[in-house]
Amino acid sequence: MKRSMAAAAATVAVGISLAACSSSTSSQSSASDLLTGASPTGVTLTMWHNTADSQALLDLYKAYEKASGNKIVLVNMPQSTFPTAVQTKWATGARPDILEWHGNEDDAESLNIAQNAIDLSSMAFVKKEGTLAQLAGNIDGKTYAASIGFPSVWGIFYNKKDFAKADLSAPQTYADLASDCTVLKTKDAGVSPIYMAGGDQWPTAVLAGFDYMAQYNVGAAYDKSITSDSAKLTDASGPFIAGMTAAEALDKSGCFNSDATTGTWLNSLKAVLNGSAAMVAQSSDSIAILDSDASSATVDANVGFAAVSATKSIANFSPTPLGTYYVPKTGNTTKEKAAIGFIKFITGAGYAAYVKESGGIPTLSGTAVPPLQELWAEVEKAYDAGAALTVNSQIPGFGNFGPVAAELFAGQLTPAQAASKMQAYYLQAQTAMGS
Amino acid sequence: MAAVKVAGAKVAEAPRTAGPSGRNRRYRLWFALPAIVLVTVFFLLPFIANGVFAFMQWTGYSTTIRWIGLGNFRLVNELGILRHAVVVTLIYAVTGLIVQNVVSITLAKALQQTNRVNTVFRAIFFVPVLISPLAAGYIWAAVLSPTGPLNTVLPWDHHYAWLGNSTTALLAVASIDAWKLSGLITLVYVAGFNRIPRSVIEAATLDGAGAWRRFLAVEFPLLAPAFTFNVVLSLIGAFSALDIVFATTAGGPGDATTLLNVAVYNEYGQGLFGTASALSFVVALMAIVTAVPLIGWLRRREVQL
Repeated sequence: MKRSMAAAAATVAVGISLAACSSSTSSQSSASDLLTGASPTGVTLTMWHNTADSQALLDLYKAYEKASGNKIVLVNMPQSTFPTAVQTKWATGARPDILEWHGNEDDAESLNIAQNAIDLSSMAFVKKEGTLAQLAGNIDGKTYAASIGFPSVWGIFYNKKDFAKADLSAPQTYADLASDCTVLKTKDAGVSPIYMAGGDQWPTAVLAGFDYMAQYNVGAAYDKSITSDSAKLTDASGPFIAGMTAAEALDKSGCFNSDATTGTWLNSLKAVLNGSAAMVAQSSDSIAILDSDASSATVDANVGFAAVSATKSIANFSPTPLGTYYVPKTGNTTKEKAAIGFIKFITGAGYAAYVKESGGIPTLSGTAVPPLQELWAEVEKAYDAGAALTVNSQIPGFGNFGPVAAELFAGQLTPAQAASKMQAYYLQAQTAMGS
Repeated sequence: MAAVKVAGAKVAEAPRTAGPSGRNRRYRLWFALPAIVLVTVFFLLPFIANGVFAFMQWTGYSTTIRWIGLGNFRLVNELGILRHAVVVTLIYAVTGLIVQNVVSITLAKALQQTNRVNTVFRAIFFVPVLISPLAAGYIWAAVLSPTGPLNTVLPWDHHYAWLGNSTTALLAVASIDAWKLSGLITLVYVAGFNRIPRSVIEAATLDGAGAWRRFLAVEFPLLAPAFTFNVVLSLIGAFSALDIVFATTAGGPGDATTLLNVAVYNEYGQGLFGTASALSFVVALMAIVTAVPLIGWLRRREVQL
């Protein structure tokens, strides 16, 4: 009996130590040593990347390979399950040499980036990134990521022709969404006023919260009120429940596509592009997908972008996962130095060519803005007009908002129940961070 | 030492090798060793580790892992995840069990005789067993989509989202799982039917029992060993289901098809490893608590031929 108890205890100890190893880092290398000096060549680096990466990003990786003599092995993380795929792989203790990941503080904390990645704060790109470096991959004032992709700007993409046919102008508020929906249903029964991509789950969070909450989160005011415990997600008169209630009302009014519970992000963009859906709540990351479905000119002719919030026209933004890179501590100094070299290249010698090819807005100062396609120009205008930080950016545990919002639209939760669930997730993450 | 006695006289001592001597036991242990190692490494150790982590606070947010007792179970219960996932898993298991066994018994009865035609059909019905569960899921997701072939062949004209409604999605996914395994279950039932002595069937026929009566009163009870095997296989399969759900609904709409294993994956994917372990522990408990008594009960009703 004693022997079996000892065996069980040993097993448990081994298990715990293995798990602990998977969560911590074995790297003892000094960050300052890694950030200075020449980058090694002839190194093979693995990168976990999002399959939604634009061609411009893929070409940037190739340009790095050519310039450095190093090789990048891309490990595909499917866009539809991107956060889960990364989290599950990360949890096993596996580490890439370069990690493409969300820049949100909440997402960075979920990988315990402060412990597991190299602090890049002293690198040259940080100054060029300006305020974005204080948001993207930033924990407690330290920058752990280089974000070369323009932030994800969230709002409403709408089909210009559907709107013109119904004699409507671009929506600005949730009341506009409701009234536009009524008109669109009357004008053409074949057009879904709003496309809801419930099958992918995460897009449901945009209409249920991101857009509605924008006006309440200017200066991250709402996020701060939650993290300082001066407000709760469950406050009956708070904007979180109000946002979900407004979105649920749109659903109950029949504004969504008939396959709202199984629809996908990619199909939502196709639908808005071809006019079978008049609107979709999404981010500027969708533009690259739209451009891959049709020429930029066709996209510009058919699709417009509008900043929409509860009662004001305010867009919201978050650091993009597409083009935000971390250097995880792997314990292999040579590879870590090479990965730092990759960051130097993409924010230095390779950056201008990337911006030119992407046709997007540069995030680093000193690089000329290329001629923007009309849709990008609309996004930039909404961003420059004072976009607020997206509500999920700084509240721990908010990675669950998509699935919870999907339950709301599937009629399985009320807005109050959904808020209770999110409050519990927040408290769980907050407790975990404090432990 | 055992000895053979005739009328009280000791006539011969049983050879030493007849019983499991110490040397023989050791010899047999070598054969058992690979299985023991495999079970220990791939089942016992993970099971014990999972049991321990179920009581630990372990998340991606922190490198600290600490004991929190029933905290993880309490949390998944408060979030409504535990109860919902258990209920959905049970409905899934029962639906799969019924569909799988009804379809397979019917098919087995139809294909019982071994001839060329039946052999071809047995092979055809076995093909789904060989298909990757993910591939099967994607195929069925396309078939059941609002614009898919199923809606096209149905007599009424609409685009019903079979996987978009909470009830039909759960029933559909469980049925796909049942369809996938039905070829294998059918073969087990065919063997079970063919194991029944012809004389018993002929006796029942002479006694005036019709086909239905013969099936219910004679064949089905004698099919008990195959039934036990198939029921347990169906249940354990349902408790460990994940891939088909992923390929068809990913747990949706909302959380309508979020089985325990899907919930485990979702928690794990959020970096909440402690709660994922707690849910995983529940899966193991459910399998043990359900399967063991069920096997015992089903075994008792088996008839020795």
